[in-house]
Amino acid sequence: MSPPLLKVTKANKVFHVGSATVHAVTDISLTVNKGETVAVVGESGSGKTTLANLILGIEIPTSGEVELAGEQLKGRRSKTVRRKIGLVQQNPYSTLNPRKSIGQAIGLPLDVHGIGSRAERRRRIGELLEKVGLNAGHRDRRPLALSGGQRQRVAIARALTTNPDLLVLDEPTSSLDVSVQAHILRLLRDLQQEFDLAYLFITHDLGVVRVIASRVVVMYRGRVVEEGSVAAIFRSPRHRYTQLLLASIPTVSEEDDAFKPDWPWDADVKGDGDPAEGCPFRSRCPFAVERCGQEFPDMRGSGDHRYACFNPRPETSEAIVNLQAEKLERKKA
Amino acid sequence: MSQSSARWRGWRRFARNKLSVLGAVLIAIVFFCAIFAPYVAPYPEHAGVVVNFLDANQPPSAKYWLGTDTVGRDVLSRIIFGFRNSLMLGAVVIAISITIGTAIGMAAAYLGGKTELVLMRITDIFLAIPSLVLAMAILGLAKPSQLYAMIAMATVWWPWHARLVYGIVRSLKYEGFVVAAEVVGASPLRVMFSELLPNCAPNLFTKASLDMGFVILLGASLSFLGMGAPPPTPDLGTMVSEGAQYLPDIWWLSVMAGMGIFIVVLGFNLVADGLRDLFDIVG
Amino acid sequence: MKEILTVKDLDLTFDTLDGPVNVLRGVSLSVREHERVALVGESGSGKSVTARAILGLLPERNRRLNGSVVFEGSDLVTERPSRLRERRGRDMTMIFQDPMAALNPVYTIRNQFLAVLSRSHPELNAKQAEARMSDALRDVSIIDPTRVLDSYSFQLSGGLNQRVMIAMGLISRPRLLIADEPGTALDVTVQQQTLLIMKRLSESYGTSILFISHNLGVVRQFADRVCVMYSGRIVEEATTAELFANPRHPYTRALLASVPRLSSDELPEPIEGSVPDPREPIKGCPFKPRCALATDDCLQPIPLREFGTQRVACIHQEEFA
Repeated sequence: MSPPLLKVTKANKVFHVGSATVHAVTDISLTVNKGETVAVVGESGSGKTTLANLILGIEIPTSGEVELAGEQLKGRRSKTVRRKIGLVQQNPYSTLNPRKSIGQAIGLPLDVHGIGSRAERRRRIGELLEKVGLNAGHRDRRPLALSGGQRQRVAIARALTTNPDLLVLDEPTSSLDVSVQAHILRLLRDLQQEFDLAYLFITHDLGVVRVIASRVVVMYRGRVVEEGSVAAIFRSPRHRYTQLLLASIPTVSEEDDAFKPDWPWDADVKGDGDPAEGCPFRSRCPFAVERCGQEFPDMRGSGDHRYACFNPRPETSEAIVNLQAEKLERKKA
Repeated sequence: MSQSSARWRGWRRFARNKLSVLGAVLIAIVFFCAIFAPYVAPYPEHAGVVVNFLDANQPPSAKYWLGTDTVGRDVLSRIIFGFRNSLMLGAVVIAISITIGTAIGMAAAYLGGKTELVLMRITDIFLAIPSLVLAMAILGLAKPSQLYAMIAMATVWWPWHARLVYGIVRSLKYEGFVVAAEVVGASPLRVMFSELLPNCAPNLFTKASLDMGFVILLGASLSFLGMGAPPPTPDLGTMVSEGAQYLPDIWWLSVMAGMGIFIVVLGFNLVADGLRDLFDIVG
Repeated sequence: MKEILTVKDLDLTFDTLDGPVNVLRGVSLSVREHERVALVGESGSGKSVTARAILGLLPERNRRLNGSVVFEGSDLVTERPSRLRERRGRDMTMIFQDPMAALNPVYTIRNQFLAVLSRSHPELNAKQAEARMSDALRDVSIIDPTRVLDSYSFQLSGGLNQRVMIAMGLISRPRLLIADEPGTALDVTVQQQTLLIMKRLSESYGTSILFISHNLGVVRQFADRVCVMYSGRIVEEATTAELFANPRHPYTRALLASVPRLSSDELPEPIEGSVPDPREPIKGCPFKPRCALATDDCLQPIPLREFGTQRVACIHQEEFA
């Protein structure tokens, strides 16, 4: 079997801020195979952006390894490596230089890598614009003249310029209206099928994960707390934090409600502050047991579904799964 | 909204600010006079060494609109040639200080670390010394000439541009488009000059316009103190200084040259105000 | 039940260098006693501007505002500014999207809370005020009010700050609270908790809430009644249960279809086209260019028509019946 496209092994990143030490990510391991979408889910402070930076080479891991197609990435990245990873950022209003045209933005990677003649670049830029649902006429316009959704399309076009194998999508739809988000999600799916792209999709929105990803990694305070196939995790979340995340999704129909786990919203928890030892989620977790304060749990579970929790949510019962199926049937009928 | 319409809106904003339009008109007149000085000035030969004691110390009249000086030269003609001198002085000083200031401010802000520490402390030291004193100290090392005056003033001026660029780049260096360029593998030089510099340009233009007035004023102060262009070069500062000896009887010498300085400085300041609005809207 | 806020035919135009921008085109809505009403729409729909118009927080310059905003019998559009300021902050309060931005980082929470409290209850002495603030914070599930009062906003998490904002917003027991995207800047889990607290308090204090949001799911959990806005108009209004069970306006339906679903791994349906330019005049239905049902009749003025308790600005309603 060929090695995975992206492999992160036991990556750690420690920042020193003054006298304080911040563990931005701790022992993160994950793989992304060619052509698949892996979602990394977490809220602010979960370390998901640091993880992206390690993969993109913006930060160097304190320890651990990042491999791309079997090749270990160390020190300064070569241009060949850089061509293989593209980035789409969250904020469509900051991702494009306000003083450069759309064509210049998309052409930047070509410029940097010295690819093609002027005419070839111009043609390629036009081609990419068409691919992302804009047209060659947008080439000479400025970002100011574009809507948020259009800017995000330009950012995607720019990421595709060098024919990468992997796109790191850092909350690509979080700043967009939901009707525009739907457009971008479709565009991403179409591009993935056409170019056999792999996506590392970073988001805080589990609703989007459900429809775009095949595997999901849930992060909390710099650690992976649960990972597995989207099907397994949405059917039966085991880590209490994943349970909370799913229970927090603002659903729009009864059918969707049936897929949400319960959460004891009224339970008393300490709330603020991050414990130094043990499971970082325990200060917010009504299910915490004594051991949670002593050590961080090892990953348990198997194959396509693993989680790090001493008191996990019980597996969703067959009865509930059947009920869910029934609800869906009724909806379709 | 297309780009041209955005620019058009900017101009309309500029035009709506009556004072900036006035400033633009003043500057246009000054530039016109400076460029076409030999044709505009009623007595172009009075810019040089001319002695005409017959008409010495004439008050403003139909023949000499702004009067004549102690050797009988037309004050208006000398002011018009003085504009030439002042504008060139301002332009050269600002060009040098923008170049140095931008390079230093940009490198300090973008590269960070030790580079930042060293460059910005040097900048701070220059900023801590009053500009006139510093310029005089530098000029004290050489004999007065236009060239040395310009070098001295550029030395005084660049730290302000360094500070300005430093501030802008600091606030922009984590913007998405900068990160995007870095991820692609763009070199620091490319990021600085191709991505960041265009975003500093509007502020630099505005500041340059504002500074133009102040540099000319500083130049005039130096000339006034006898550290500028030596005679007989017509220099507005020198004219004020020379005329001051004859106050209040031959008042027009100082006052008219002073008005000349005032018009240039005011014009540039008013335009700077309008430029701020203009660039504000052009994305 | 009695209406405490009645907005009628609110029309707002800003005059810009590019000509007039028509932001609101005849918005009418009402909030009754003890009711939570949501104003939902995408960016540019005019939902936040409506909230600001109600609060009298719109810039004065180059503004044309028509219509009426009647709050407990007095028209806020014509009310004297001094009187307006007095009512705002006591009878009608507000909460904004980003609690960090709304709280001043150089004063302790106590200082800021006291300033708010002394406007509505100037008669309290220091001890009483302290007790009142502690109670208010306990009401928003803050276990250690003293520590929170001693803190500065930057020392607290976003969720705690948001809860402090809610406590401050409700301390005067206002008749109406206007909440503009509360919790949107927070993590989803925290947002959920915040909404639950706000919902509980609005019930126990009897405060009505006008809730501005772009998130249909949040609205569904929180509001009793929903107004859907599009391009400066309310296109549909219904009780929450009705709206989600039987959305009538094509825009409401399209908006719902664009939300990713937990019950399905299919990609949501985007809405084709884009929002009309507010600088252009609109004839008839603003959604017409993007609507599959559109006909030439849609170019006529479209009034809100009633279907039971549901009001819909669409002439193609028989098709859904």
